[in-house]
Amino acid sequence: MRIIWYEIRKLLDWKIISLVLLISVLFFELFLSFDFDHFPNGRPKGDTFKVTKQMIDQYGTEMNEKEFQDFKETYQKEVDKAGDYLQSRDDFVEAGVTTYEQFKSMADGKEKLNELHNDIMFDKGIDVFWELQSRESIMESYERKKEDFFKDTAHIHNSAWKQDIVKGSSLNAILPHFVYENYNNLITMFAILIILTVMIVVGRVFITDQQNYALHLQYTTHIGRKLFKKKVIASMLTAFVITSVYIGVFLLLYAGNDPQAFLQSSLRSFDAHTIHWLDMSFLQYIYLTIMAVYLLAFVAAAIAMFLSRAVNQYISLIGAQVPIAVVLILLISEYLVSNLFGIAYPMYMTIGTYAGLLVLGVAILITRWRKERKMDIK
Amino acid sequence: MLVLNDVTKKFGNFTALENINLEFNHGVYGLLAPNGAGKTTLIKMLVTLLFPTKGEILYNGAEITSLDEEYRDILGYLPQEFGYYKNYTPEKYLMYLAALKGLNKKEADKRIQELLRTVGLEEVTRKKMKKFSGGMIQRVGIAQAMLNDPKILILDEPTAGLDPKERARFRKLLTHLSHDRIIILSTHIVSDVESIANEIVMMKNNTILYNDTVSNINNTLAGSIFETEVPFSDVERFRDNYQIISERQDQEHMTIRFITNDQADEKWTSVTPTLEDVFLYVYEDDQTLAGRVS
Amino acid sequence: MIRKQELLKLTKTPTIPLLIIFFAALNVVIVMSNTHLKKDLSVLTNLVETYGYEINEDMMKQFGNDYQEKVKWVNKIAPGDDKTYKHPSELLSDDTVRRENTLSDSEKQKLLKYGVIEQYHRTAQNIDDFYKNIDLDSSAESIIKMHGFTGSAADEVRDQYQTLDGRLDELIDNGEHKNLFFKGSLYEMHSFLFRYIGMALIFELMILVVLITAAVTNYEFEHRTALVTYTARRGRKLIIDKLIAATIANGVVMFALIGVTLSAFFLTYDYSGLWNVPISSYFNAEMPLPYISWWNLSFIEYVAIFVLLMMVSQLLFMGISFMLSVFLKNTYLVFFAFVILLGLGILLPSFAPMSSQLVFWLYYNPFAFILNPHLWLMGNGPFTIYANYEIVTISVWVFLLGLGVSYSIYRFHRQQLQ
Repeated sequence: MRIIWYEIRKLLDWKIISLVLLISVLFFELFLSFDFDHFPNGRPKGDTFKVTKQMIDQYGTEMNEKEFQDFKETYQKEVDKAGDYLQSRDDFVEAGVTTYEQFKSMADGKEKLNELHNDIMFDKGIDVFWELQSRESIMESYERKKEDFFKDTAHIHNSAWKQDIVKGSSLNAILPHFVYENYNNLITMFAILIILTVMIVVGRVFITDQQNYALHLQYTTHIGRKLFKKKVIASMLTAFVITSVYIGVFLLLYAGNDPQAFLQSSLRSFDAHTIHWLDMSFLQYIYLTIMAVYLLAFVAAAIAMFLSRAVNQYISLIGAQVPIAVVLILLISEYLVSNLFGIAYPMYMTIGTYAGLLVLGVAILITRWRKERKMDIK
Repeated sequence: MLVLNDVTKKFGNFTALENINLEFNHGVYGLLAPNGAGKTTLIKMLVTLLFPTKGEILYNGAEITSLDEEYRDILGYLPQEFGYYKNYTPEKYLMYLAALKGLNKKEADKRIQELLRTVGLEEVTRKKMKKFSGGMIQRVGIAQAMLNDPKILILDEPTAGLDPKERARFRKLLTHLSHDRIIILSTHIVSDVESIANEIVMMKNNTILYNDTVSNINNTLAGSIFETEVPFSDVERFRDNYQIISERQDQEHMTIRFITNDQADEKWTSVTPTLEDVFLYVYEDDQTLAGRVS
Repeated sequence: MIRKQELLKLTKTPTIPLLIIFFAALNVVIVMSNTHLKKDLSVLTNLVETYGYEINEDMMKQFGNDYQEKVKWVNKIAPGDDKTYKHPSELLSDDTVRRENTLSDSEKQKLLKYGVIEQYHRTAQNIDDFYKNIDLDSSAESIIKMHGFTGSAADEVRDQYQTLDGRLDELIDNGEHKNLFFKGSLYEMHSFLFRYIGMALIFELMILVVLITAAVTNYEFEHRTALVTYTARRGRKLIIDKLIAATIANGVVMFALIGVTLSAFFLTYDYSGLWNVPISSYFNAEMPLPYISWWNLSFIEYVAIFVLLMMVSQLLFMGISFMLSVFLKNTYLVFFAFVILLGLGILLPSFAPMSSQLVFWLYYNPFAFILNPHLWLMGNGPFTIYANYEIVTISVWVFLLGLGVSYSIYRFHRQQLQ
């Protein structure tokens, strides 16, 4: 245990920690801060966010047909409120716009009316008008949910599966697509940041000892070549720690995006733009992606460790890690994390890739250990 | 007791060592050979970094690789070039190696203080090693090898980089340690081993040439080493006829030390052979040395 | 002799060649990712073959007549005589036709092709109207609002859009916009080539250039030969040979990777007959605002200048990595120091207040420079809109880095080597 602790401390050298922190901060500013700072991004997304949260309060995670009727009634009440507002404004009354219907069809191109329209929507930003827009699009997607679902799944030839879903209630789930997409972007970019960090940190595990002939000393001590195994454990623990810290930071920051209301909703909501093979709640999806990130971090650590032992120079280490990082990043942003188990890729491909990566990671370490045990150290 | 039976080591087609048979008991062994004779290969096999292609290495009758950590537990090793972490202090570095050597923390702590005093580094135990001179690093290396109080201590060119004072101190340390353990000292500096080694192992052409005490080895040249004064004008001719070991320029003439089996000339003084004489004689035809002698 | 030796050292590690092969393969994959468009693209190539790319009255007349023939054919194959279709797209989007499925496969193919031709014909007809209605002033205003410019920065944006407006008039006079090209709003071939492939190339080359430059410069320190080499007759001047060797190696790598990638691209996608189409053609437009190049450039000229700018920007990166190498002496550190500089260079402008001119100045850096290669030499908004943005960025940084490199060579001569 003491040896593992020493090896971890060697990996987490303060210089390397500062380096990866600096890189992480830059990465965060470039690729992540936007999705934290600007969520929900603009109008009417912010209004939709508010309305859907109210809906969950009222209807639970799903909205059935009866509740939808109620929702429509609420919409009518809001329309009346908008009308009241319009009537309260002399300029609108003068222009002959006194109902929401009229407001909506205010003719384009007529400058005067345009100005009035903009005054409500942009200059004053009257909430009720934006909320009405949100409610309309919610109603629209609710009414079109089956149609949309069949369109989205047109390339899948499994009508039994589709029928099951349409018959079930998950299409009634309340989860705005941008809430899901926001999480999806964030976890994808975090996954990339995490595997890069793991590769940088763990990549040094052997090469520092190899570069200055420390291996000769280490392999002739009591622990001997079993040090290899200890280093494997140390690297995996380090990868675990790095991933946990980053995921922890991520969850803390993500809580600020206020997704709590939606955690129990099914991903197959009526507003879903991405359909998944599995019927998961948003929370289950979060768990699943986090597990995926851990898995990828371990695989990245295994590969980095293997390379670290196989090469002798830092330039070769970078040269070997760059293509692997590129491939992992592409896979992560295609289907290994982003839209995990989405129907854009067959399920067996996702599972197959993970299994393949896992087997690869284990296999290279085992073969290396077998070799390590009996190789001449020149 | 450490025994090598018919040990051969090949790297691909290249034979680095052939049919080595050796026995080490308590005491200091000087492994003497010019560079490239297979010294380091032999040592790396003794410390389990390399594995023999043929033959076996036994410690108290058991194969050292199957003894595994039991063997490495009683092993201390200082490689020619050894790894240290520039940003570590000697204390922290030794703590790390103590962990690898399976020492518990408390005993390691005591042992490290003791050893740092022994090698004269007690003043700098908390200084980062990147500030250290070559000699200081080497002393850290010696301390490192001693950490687990090894029964077998193998030192590859341990005196490289040490100044004469450090060297003397080191020799004293070794003599002190040699009572109850095997110390194998590889070097090509003859004077390092001449005074302290109980036995000398000389290697040539990838195999063992001598394995004997210093005096026995020296005796092989008894009566063949002479010194004489040669006028400058005759030096060239003299060099052509005899195998010169060393030359010293005096005011009127050259004082030449040489080897011959010829009948002794009256102007020659017979001298007692030293290990250096044997070394130079044995490796006379060796290409790496030839350049140095002439 | 020395330089040759320095170059040979590079080949001793397989890293660089293997990386080049990997990147080349990656680029070929990226190039191939759009092959599904090839059939559609060939429609335009055929049109150009028939009518030439210039859109003028004669050409439109002929094009129009032929198009009417095609519409006739559409009505002929259309099931049911009760309905006349004015365009192929009407038949294509007719749900009842699709459902009844009365068309043969070859008819469907032909219909799809005619649908594409319709797009070109329609767009060609609308060009004049479209350009008449481009209002750069309001574009400026909405961009000012979108980015939140205030004060003198906002005025600067207005000024620049004014200048661009002048160029737009000139462009219209030249008729640069009235030329057939792959329709950008459908296929986005400009972005595909100059943005996605271009960015991939730029970042791949950047990795290679940093590694090569650092590896060559640091070689002696990483192989513990510095004490010998820098005390030989050539001495510290060896660093100059290393710089030259790095330049040669980087040049070769650039030619190789760019060569392979662009060859793959132009062998896959047929640009025959389109080489001399002005890059500001309306058909190239992908966004509501079409591409407006500051100069009248043909496609092939644009490609050439693009490659040139790409290579010069790599030389800037070489300068930066050389300076880092002289002071850090470790390839690993240089690589990550460069990554950090890259991040800072990209982020820097976002720290500037949107009210001052500073925000524009900060964009004149080599890292911000490479972020939108598809907009090089274009009136693009709002930060790098300037006609001379590219040439100023490049010249200023060539000058600065020239000084920096000379200074680091000078410093290297005085450095304590351990």
